[in-house]
Amino acid sequence: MTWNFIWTFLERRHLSDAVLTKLYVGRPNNTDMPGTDEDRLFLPANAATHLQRCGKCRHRRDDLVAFLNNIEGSGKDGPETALTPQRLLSQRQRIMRRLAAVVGSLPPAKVLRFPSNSYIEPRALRQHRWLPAAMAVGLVVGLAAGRAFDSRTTDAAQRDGLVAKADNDAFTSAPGGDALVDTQDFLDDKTMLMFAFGSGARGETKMLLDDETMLAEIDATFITRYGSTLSALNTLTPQVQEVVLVGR
Amino acid sequence: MSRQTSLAGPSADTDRDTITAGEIKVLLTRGDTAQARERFEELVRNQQQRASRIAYRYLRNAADVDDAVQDAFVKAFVHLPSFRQELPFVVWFTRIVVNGCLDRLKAKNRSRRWVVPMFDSSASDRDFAEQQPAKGGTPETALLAKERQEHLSAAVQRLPERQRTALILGVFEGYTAKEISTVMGLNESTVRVHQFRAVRSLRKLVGNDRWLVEQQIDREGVRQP
Repeated sequence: MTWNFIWTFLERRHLSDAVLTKLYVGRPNNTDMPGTDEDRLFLPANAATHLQRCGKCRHRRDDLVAFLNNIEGSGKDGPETALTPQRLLSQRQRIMRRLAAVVGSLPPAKVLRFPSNSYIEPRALRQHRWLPAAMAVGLVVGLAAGRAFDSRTTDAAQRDGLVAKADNDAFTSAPGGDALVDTQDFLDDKTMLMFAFGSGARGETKMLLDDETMLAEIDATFITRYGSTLSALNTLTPQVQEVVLVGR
Repeated sequence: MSRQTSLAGPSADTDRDTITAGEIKVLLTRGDTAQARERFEELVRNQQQRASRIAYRYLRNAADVDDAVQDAFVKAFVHLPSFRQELPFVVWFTRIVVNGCLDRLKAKNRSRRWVVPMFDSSASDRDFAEQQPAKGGTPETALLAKERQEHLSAAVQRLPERQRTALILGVFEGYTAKEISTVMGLNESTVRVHQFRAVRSLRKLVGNDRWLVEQQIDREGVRQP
């Protein structure tokens, strides 16, 4: 009883626009419809029954159908006017020409080579990794060589200083050397050494240098534990100057 | 209903074109491209008019339609090896056409934002063929028909993208909801919802009064009750 009442109520309800649109646009095998759940209860058969009974819905349906038919008709006129057979023919010819180009029937277009940009790829960087390594090795070798050269130069300078000192002593202690004492005050060791070599006293200077080296070694030995013994020996040994004076 | 009998739909040539497309696919796979191109001309003949019509509803400019349809055919030929034969060729190809048209519209809208037109492009941009009056009837009738077309096209263009596609393919081209769902990549029910909303929006945009009544009188000579 209740179900019949509900069913009658639903059947008497007017069809929604969604159902009417569906009836126009859809196909007979379409069962699911847009709209609310009530709309879905009205399958096309029920809708047709309702349309037969309800004049208002029929009128709405006719309005909608007329509207859509007009839209369809108006919509068709536009393309048919614009797309003439001549236009479609030339369009088809262009399509076939483009397809011919695609499949390679026509000679292919020349590909232009663009200059590569300045970006260096990481792979290229990896290939040239020897360059920074060589630079690093060069730096290390250079530093080592520089250091070795520097130490040699220092040794030579020390030796030169020693020679100069020996020459200075030779000048002052040599016969007539007193005359040079005043001059010595104005000249440095190097100049004095050059002066000595230039004066033709090279062999003498060499000898003095050996003596001086020996004396320096003796002086160094004095510092050691044998110093006291040697100092006694030293007092007994006549000095060079004394020997010279005795010789005169 | 008259609607269901009046629509031929795209399904009539579907089987034949799908078979042809399958054969071209085999030729392309073998590397026989020249033969494939010759066979493809058959598909171009069968699908060109429909594709142009659909493109026109989106682009509303014959020159743009030419370019869009050419691009669509070339794209279809190049990508034919990826075509699956369980899908009708017409649906697959329509999808290419619709996507191409939507891309063009988006590009056009983007360029409109930055380029200031020197003259009113809406009128002078049109092809000469579009400016010709409709066939038959008096000049007044032709003018009214043209006005209605403009009005309707403008209204269709104002619809959201999905509603527009559902309306164009469903109402104007007679595609079934299933075919439209394949073209749009949507559920069938969703397509029907879009169709309903499109019709509802169009009724609001176009108006259901004077425009409709005049059209009805023009067509049938009597006012509908």
